[in-house]
Amino acid sequence: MRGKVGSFAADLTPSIPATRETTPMLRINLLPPYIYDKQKKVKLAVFWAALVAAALGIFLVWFVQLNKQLDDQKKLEATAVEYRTKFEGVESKINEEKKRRADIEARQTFITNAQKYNDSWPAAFETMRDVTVDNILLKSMAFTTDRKTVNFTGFAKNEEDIVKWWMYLRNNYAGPDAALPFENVSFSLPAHPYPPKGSANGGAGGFGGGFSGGSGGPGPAAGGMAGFPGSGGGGGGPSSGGGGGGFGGPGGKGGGGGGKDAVGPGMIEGRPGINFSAAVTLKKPLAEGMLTPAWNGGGAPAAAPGGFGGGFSGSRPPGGPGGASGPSSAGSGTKD
Amino acid sequence: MSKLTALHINIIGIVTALILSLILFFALIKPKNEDIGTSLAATTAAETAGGTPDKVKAHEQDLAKSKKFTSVTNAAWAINQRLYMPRMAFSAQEKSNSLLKLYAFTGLYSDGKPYGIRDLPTVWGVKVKKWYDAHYREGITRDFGQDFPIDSFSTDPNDISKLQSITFPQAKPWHVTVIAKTFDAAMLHLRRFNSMRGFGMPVVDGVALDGQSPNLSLSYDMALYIIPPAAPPAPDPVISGGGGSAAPGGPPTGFGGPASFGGGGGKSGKAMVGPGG
Repeated sequence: MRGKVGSFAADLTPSIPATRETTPMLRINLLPPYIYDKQKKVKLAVFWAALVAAALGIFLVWFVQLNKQLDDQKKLEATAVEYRTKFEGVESKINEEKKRRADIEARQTFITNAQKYNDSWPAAFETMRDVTVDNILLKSMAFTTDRKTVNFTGFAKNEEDIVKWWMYLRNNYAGPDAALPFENVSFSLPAHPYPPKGSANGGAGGFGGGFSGGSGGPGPAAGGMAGFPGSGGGGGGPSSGGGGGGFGGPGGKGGGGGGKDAVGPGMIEGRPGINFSAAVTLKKPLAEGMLTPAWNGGGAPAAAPGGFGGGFSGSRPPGGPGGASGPSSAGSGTKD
Repeated sequence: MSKLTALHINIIGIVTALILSLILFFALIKPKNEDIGTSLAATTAAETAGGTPDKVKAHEQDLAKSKKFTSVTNAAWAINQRLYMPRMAFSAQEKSNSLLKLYAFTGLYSDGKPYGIRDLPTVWGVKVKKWYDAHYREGITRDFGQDFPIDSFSTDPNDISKLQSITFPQAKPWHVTVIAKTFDAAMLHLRRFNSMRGFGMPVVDGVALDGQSPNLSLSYDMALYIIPPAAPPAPDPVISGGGGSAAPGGPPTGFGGPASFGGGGGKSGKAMVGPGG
């Protein structure tokens, strides 16, 4: 085969022109393609093997990096856990400390609250004294059970003085402004009916004088219609002959007035004048609304009656409603 | 190899690379990622629960404050206890006293004198009355008939073991009415309660004013709370008194057994307990 090819080439040589022109040699591969298949397949196999190896390498590098990251994270976790353990240790010490002083703290809190509560009474009464003008004589003062409203009765030379004081309180001490001490001020003044000639003396007693706004149910006002719903309710008419029985005081709310001359003409030291009743509602209840402090042995159950006392359990609840059941229920306006 | 075509090799290569990648991912990468996620979550949780130096430091400061507050509270209570509470024989030193001794002789001290716990109502009733009467010169007079009754204590000395606190009066506060000469005297009287020494902590409630000077009527509810300094001693199983578990009385003929056992019958018409004639 090779001999044949050589001779064939030799036969072609004379046909080249003698001009010595050089023509680029065209390489002609006349070998059939399957001759190269094996080489190609080997190259391809090598390529894929390299690719797989590269993938393996990449994954290994990734893995190593992740391992390092995990180690770092574990260290962080260990540090955080260590700090948390310390934190919990400190917290448990704080709780032990709180537990250790709980009993003493409860006692001390009781004493502090009691002192504050005791001091709040004179402070409130002195506030009322301070806002009272010279031509008004106060005759009684008492707080309602929620210790937010002060009911009081008083005496003035005439109604004009009372109304002036009412205006003074309303303009200077009551209103929505937080700096003012009172939410509202309400007064019960004598009724001014027109009894036609021939009608029964004393009449119906009007509306009981209860013009007040605010909380409270209608006053009992015997001898007349109940007052308009309002704090302190309506006092009985001047000639009503007794109604609800004075201010409720700590045992009661509303239902004021009604003493023999709680509202209406009166006399003090030989001087004629007008009795009135009124109420102011405080912005902040006495002692900031604190319940009456009481000690019952730091949570121990109270002893049975006849034992050693044991105390009132917890804070005493406010007394129930009812106008006549307070310390001052003997009736206001009866001392003039 | 000779039978494989290039396409075959490509397919084999792709599949191998893919499978290998998947295996490596799921065998190596994913578990590590999960571990990192878990550790990160644990770290975050630990840090949230106080696992940072700042939080530990802040908490240590809280502990210091708490300890300081404890010492301040203890000091304040020590002062208030000295001011308001009577000296009671309920302390670690005096606990060895017998219950009967506490009950009858040295349960508490008032004005330096020892009294049995059973005498508390009497001693306190008189003491409170004296306190009021001491303010006569300051313009305060007890209203007519105003007294301070206190129910008697249990006659069983073992009931001392239940004595966690004492409230005078036991059932409900005294309703007190005093006559003040002036408004200022009345207010001063109210302010004086916080300086009542050795009576127990007084609590005044439901204050009301009525009338005019010099007969200003001041009324209020008042209770005294005595907090013993320590827990009461345990009951003595050997003794019993009052309505306690007494031995049965003597024979049914009517004459009681020995008086000391209690519960016995009495001679007809004669009082067995209380002052005799």
